[in-house]
Amino acid sequence: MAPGEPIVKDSPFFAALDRFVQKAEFRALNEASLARIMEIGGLPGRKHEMFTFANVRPHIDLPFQPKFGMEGLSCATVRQLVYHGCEKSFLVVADGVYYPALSDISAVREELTVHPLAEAMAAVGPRLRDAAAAETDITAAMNGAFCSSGLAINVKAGAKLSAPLQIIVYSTSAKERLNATFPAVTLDMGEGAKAAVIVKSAGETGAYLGNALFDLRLGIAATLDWAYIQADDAAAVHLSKIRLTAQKYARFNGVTASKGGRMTRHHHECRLQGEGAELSLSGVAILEKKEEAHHYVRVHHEVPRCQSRQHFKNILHDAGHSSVDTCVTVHPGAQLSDSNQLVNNLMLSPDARADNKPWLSIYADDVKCTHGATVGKIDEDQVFYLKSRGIAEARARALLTTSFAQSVIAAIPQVDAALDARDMLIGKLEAKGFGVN
Amino acid sequence: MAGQDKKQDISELTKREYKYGFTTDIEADVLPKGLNEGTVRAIGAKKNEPDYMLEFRLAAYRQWLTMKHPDWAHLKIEPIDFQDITYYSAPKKQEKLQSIDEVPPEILKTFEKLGIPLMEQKRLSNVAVDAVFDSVSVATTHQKKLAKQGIIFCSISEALRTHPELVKKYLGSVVPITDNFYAALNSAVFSDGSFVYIPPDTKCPMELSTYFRINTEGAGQFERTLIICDKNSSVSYIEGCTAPSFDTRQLHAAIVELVALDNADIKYSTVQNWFAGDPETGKGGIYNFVVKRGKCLGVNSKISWTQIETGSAITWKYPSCVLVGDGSQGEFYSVALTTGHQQADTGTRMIHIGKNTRSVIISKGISADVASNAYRGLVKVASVAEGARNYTQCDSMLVGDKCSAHTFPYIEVGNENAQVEHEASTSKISEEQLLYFQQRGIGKEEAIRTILNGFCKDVFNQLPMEFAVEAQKLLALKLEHSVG
Amino acid sequence: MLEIKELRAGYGEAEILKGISLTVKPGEIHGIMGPNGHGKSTMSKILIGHPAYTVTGGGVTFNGKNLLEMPPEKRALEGMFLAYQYPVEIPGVNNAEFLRMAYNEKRKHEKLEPVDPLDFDELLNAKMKFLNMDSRFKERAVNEGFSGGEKKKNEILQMALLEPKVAILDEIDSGLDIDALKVVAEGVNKLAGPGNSLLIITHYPRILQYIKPHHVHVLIRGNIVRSGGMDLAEELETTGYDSYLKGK
Repeated sequence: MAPGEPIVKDSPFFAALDRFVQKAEFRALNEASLARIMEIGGLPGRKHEMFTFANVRPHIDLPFQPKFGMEGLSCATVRQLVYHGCEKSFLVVADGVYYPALSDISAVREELTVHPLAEAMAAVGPRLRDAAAAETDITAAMNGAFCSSGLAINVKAGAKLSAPLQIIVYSTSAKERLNATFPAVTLDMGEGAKAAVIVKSAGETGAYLGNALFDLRLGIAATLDWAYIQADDAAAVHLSKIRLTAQKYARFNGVTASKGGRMTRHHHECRLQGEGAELSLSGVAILEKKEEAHHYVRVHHEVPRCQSRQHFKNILHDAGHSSVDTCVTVHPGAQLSDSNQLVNNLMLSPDARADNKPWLSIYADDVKCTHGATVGKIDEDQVFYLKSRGIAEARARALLTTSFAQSVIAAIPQVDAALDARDMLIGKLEAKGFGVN
Repeated sequence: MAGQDKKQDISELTKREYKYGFTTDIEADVLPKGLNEGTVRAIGAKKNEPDYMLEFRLAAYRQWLTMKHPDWAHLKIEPIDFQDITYYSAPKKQEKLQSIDEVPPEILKTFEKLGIPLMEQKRLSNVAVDAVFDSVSVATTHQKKLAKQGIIFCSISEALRTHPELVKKYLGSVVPITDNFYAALNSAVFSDGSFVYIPPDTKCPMELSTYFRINTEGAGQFERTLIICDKNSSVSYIEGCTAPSFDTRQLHAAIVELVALDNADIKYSTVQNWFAGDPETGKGGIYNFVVKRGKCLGVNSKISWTQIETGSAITWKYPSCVLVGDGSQGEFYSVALTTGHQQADTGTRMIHIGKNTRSVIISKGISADVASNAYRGLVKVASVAEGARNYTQCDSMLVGDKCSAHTFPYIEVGNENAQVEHEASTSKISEEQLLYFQQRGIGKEEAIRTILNGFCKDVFNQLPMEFAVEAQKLLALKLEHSVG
Repeated sequence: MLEIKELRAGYGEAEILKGISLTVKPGEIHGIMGPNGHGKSTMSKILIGHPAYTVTGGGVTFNGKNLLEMPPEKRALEGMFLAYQYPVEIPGVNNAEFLRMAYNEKRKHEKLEPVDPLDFDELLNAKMKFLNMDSRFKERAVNEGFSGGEKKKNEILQMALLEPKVAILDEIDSGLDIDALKVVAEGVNKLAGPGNSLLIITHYPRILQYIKPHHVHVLIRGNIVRSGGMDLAEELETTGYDSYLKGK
């Protein structure tokens, strides 16, 4: 791994660090993270293997203002973001801070507990700190360096959440400065627990920097349906890191619907640690103008008999740029691992760019691992087929384009969230003349 | 457990010796170890090279001094002491060889032992051979017959003098001296290699072949091959390599440059069986760090690489195609086998620049024992490469649970009319499969060979017939002790 | 022809067969019945020489020779054949080529000239017609992507080609619907003759309706607890194995 460029002490990043007021509960995490950033060698340049495709440096080495909490967020604004079915099971994190007063978890109070992260640091602090000390992704280490708030959720063993839990991550924009937020969410699923969690990331119109960390732990036979609807403003920078560990027979089904923006990057680090654990990860992005959306995924089969499936789809207009950089590592002894990775890109413009690195590293011989990637246009045979059935060309193309994205959106089990993702993404297509109706 | 015992029995029983591990006792003209400007000048002087070559070498050497050893590959490379290498070793024979009869009989015997008859005779009678012994081309066969059609097939040292206009124009045009660490090193110290020029409208009537042999302990081999295929012409070229078994590492850092003009077709096949080091300890063996690149300059030109990589302690190479001409095609067919402590990080780069360019990549990696085998491949479609197409398939086979297989594809597409497909899978030779064959009366050796052929057939099909047979045998032989 | 005496064998530490004796004479059809996990498949794997299984006692002679000393391919060439319960997939290896390879190995063993691909194709076509098989079987890789029924037919095809002296059919009816079962059974019956013997290993008596055994043995906890004729199979059809499992 090529080292990053060293951080110079008078860089905007350090200026931001100077303005940062540490909280006692988070000191150990902040310091371990900062030490790690220095250890790795600074902010990542383009030569950094992890950021060959996603050039994040210009978006993070800025005179940003770490922001914790906001005044005057109205109930009405929040209400608009709550999905049908989650009216009594949603949590609000605004400018990085959890607001119990704006949240409502009455429907799931019996099945889970929620605490502001500061109160839970005694319990989860050590693990966040340990992970930060070994973090390889500088943007995630940055979250740790500035983290001062967030949420700690525990789903009780054996509990089945009666309603999907929605986590609203809301950011504000200010003209005079660049607001930056660094929330962390820990989610612990007890043995046999079953839950659906939807993260909705949104914010005011204008620029802001959102850098969120999710630390998900799935106990034995726990099941988590996870939907991540990234609907931030086009001028915003959105960075997320999802750390996941799964024990025996645990199942994780994650879907990321990404609106894209100035810079959007999702990093999933998934460790299958118990035999029979299953992971499914899919993502869809529709990009236009100069929007970017990047997926960086590392899946580790650490024990035998685990299964992982990945499927990412991107539709690229204008000068949209997507990348999917995934690697499945089958560790020594992880026999009977079963994994596949599939990336499909649909190019709709001469200036678009699609980059992929579907990697595999295998250290066990009795495994089934496949990967595939395609980049191309709409299949002309399919267009012709539809035309031969009397469907007009433009409509045929629109139909094939939307259905390309639809298969991933359809993997979101919650109807309202799926519809939201659909409107957000397909809406972009329709605006481009790809309306089906 | 019985199965375990059996595995051990078989591995002990069939420990094959490296067949080509002998040395030839011959007086050699050797430069002292070490590299400095003087070494570079000495190599040039020993070879009576024209001034333009010395300038080329010195520029490369100065470039090399500014470069760092690359560290991005998935390889564990012991630090190489570039001052502990002999950069020139040639059989002692001052005057230029006039005919094959003047080749020292020991060397002729060596090549005969390797199955490469230099006397124009029997088995490979339709193959013209350039034999490179340590650093120097010792014999080139069939030259006269080829010359009748205007085909030049000679050592590169000879070409430097006899065809300076071609060498000046194309040497370093595909792999510039600044390209990478080993490209700069080779450009500074290369001692010999093969040169081929096929004139326009000519189909080369026979397979051309170079056979490389490292003989001197501690000698590095830095050969340089340049093949130019002019308009509407075609050539098929084969390269084979072996080395004696020494305990010390030896460096082989070659450059192969191919240039295909309009409608030209170059097929380059390699069967590489350098000494791999001790299978138990990993001691010794060749570091095979080669830069191979072809430029499809002309319209509808085609360059096809086929490689069977079975030897070397470390194989690190990416035979690549730069598809400049509209409608040009690049192909890469590879079987890389690693056993014992061998490591490989190999694959290709297909750079699409011209319109309607096409490329195919078929890679089969087989890993056994404690070996590591990585495929690394870049498919890049430039924004101007309208209608570019690529199909990639890279499959891995693992034999045993201590080895590893890695697939590192890079796909970068900047054109909407491109079509790029990549597929990969893993498989294994299992005890159950072997038993199934045995239950039908087919012995283990035959079973392994059959399964391997099945796995590799898309690549074997690309090789000239007799080499395909040889490659099949080689693979089965090398893998036999690893499968139980 | 096949004589198993006090055979003890197992997998790893576990002893699965605990002293089995069985004599199979030419022309005989034996049914080995019993619940899953009681040693039926272990017995077939021991007979063909599976390396993961260990013989701990007793012996097996095959045509007077010590079977257990022979490597698996030697056993096959001597005429021991197993139709697998789960035939192994061998990707990339053409089925017809594989069949010819096996056929020629047998001819070599019998000191006969190998058959060239064209002659073999004719022979194969005849055998496939005899088993009512589709010719596209030839073009595919060995067992790869075959349905359960196709795999079983491919096993019987190999049996038809190799003409073994003793054929073990391990759960040949599993995964087959009734029509496919009839075709397979018909094929097996056509192949059975006075010179060769069959060992039919099965959990369910159903197959024995179609391939009538002369002898039926019940294998429980690694022992043959009862032997009889066809009537025993019929009895098991109604009573099941419960009465055998209760004791101990």
